[in-house]
Amino acid sequence: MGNKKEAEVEEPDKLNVRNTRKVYIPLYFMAVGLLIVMIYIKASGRPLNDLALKIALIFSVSVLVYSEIHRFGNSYEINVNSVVHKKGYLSTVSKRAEFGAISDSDIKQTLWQRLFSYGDVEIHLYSKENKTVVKNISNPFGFVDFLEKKMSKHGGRQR
Amino acid sequence: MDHPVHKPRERKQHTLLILSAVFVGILFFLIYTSFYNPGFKKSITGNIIKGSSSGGTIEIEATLLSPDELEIDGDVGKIELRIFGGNFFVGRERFELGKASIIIDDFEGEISFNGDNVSRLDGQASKVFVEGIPITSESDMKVYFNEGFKYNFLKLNDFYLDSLSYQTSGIVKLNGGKVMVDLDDEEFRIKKFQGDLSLKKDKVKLNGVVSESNLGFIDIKAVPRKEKVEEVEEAEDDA
Repeated sequence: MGNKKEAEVEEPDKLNVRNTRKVYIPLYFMAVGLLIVMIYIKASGRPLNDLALKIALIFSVSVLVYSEIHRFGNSYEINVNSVVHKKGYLSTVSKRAEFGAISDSDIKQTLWQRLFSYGDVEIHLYSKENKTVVKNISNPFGFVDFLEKKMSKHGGRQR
Repeated sequence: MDHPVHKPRERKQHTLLILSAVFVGILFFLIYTSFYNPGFKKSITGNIIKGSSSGGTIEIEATLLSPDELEIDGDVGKIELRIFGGNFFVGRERFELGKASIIIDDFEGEISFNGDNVSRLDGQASKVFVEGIPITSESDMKVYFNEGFKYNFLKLNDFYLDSLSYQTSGIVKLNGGKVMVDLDDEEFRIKKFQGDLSLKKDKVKLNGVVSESNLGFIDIKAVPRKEKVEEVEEAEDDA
């Protein structure tokens, strides 16, 4: 009964991913850290310098805006026959790697990335001596599984 | 796609390093200006306005209706206050005061008031007395009220005010009474005031010197001593 249900669940045609926000955890820590210090200063009845307050707020907002803008610089898509890497903001560069050209893939995780369960996926190609690096995505194993399923379904190598 | 993998990672690390340095700098600045040097910005402005009241001056003595709002940022030789109550912070100590008189010596900071309310008093002082009793032994300490408070008397002795301008009524005497102006809801404007100011109920008293004053239709400007001497010499030559 359970297997039947699983079989009924259809896999999506596409998978779109961007850099995970976990990459920006150090930046979020900075913004939150400044906020906590400012709250502590206020709560303890000490004076909060206007200039310092403004600089701290500008820094915190800038960090959040920067991280969001930075995330939009790269996007990755697995569709029915290729992996597409879009790069750029206003003018974009789109690189497509057909399933047939993909030889293998690696998952790379540093200790920090393992702690927060994200990582990089390197997709190697047969024809050229290069690779597409899918950087800082959440659940890289899931991404590779999805890629393999699509490749086995729509053509390409099988691991 | 022949990008070396390490380059962007190095760039990313540089960005993170720069951001971390900025973060530490801001954190240090926040802590320094709140815990160690609360009069940080004020000390700069205080130094700038010191000695700006140079050149010729006009003595002024005025009793007027007080302005709606007044902000002072700088050095005040002595502040005398009679308040109805408030939380007064001196150094690290907090004093819950009822009706009390306060004297603050060598104050450097900000004071703003509107009507019978002091909205801000925040700065550093060398000595503080409450009801005539010295309340701390430290020499340079932070003094402030955490919120506005009502007062019935306030006197600022020996301070500098760059300019003051508002519509008011009252008597203004210049140069020891040589010029006396009775203002009736007219413009009162002075520049570079140095002296004492006291506020009681809705009356403000000013006693000191100014570089320039505009009282209703009468404009008086002090002439620097050097120019004055030259003018006298020219007049003597003409004679």
